[in-house]
Amino acid sequence: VEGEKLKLRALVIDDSRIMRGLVKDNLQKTELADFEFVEAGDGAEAMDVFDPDKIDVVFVDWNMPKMNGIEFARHVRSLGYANHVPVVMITSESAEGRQESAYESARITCYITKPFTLEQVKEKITPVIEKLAQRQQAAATKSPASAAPPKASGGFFSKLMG
Amino acid sequence: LIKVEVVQGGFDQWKVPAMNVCEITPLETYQQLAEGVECGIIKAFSAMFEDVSACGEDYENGPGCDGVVGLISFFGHVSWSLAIAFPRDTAMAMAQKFVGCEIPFESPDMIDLTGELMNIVAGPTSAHLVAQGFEAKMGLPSVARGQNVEIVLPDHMAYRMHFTSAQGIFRAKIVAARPRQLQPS
Repeated sequence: VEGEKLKLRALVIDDSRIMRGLVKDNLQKTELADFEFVEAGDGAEAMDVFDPDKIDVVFVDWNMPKMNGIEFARHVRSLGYANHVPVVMITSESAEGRQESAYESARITCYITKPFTLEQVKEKITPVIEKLAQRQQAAATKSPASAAPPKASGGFFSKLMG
Repeated sequence: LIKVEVVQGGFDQWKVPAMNVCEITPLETYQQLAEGVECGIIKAFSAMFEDVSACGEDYENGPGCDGVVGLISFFGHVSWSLAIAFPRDTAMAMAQKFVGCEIPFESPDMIDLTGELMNIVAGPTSAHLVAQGFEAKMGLPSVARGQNVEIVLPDHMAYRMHFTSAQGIFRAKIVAARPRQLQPS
């Protein structure tokens, strides 16, 4: 496992193409994992591509047409079989009270406030990635043959395993 | 000749605040809105751009400009909207700073970016107002782009502010019914 890097498939949901690009760019720059991205323009579109067996983590905007980020998260949690997938809310919404109640009801894992810096993204998602790494490690230990082998080299996963 | 291209939202969304501004906003509420908007713009834009400062109230409609206008509505105690007009040079400079590369003014990405800037401004604006006990849920942004862009409203319906930044000037308007005490003479 030494020298291997965690590989994650992330679903990025935002009605802004530019913001999706910035989110993806910043996630890769954190070097916490080797991300592969799936994109959606709103919550409704995301439901078509969301598969908890294939998506490791979700990054979702709050304020979107058709189905907003909170509605999407509630829907995901209501499925019952997707509770293990962390949902990170990326939003400009920062009103006290409103944020907490919405996140609690939708069981949001954590949130990143827009506009964000690379350091803020890294700080917020490091615990999320750590848990995912531990889960992948546990799965690999339990069933080595069926676990997907991490690819690439260096970075967070090797430090965790080291 | 005004040539405006409404790219996001659509005319229905533009009509939502217009239907509600007939109710005269109380003076105190109006001052809260103005303070919240200024605070929100300064906070949001200072995190993205340099040397952002408010230059106070504009007492006259500015000239139409070659630029882009973003509009976002808020709902709560009263329904109101915030419009921000970015001249072409300001929009280009802000886009460069925000994304890290040049975005052609005529591209769909410029509309996308303007809508996102309105979203980002709406967050701290709403938070400031909520902290004051003023409900202000944000709607979805709309964007207009054109060669002579200006949201023209009767004086009693708009409170205008202007701002400067290292990326250029921009103007903001609160679109709500303006109490008589605050109407320009």
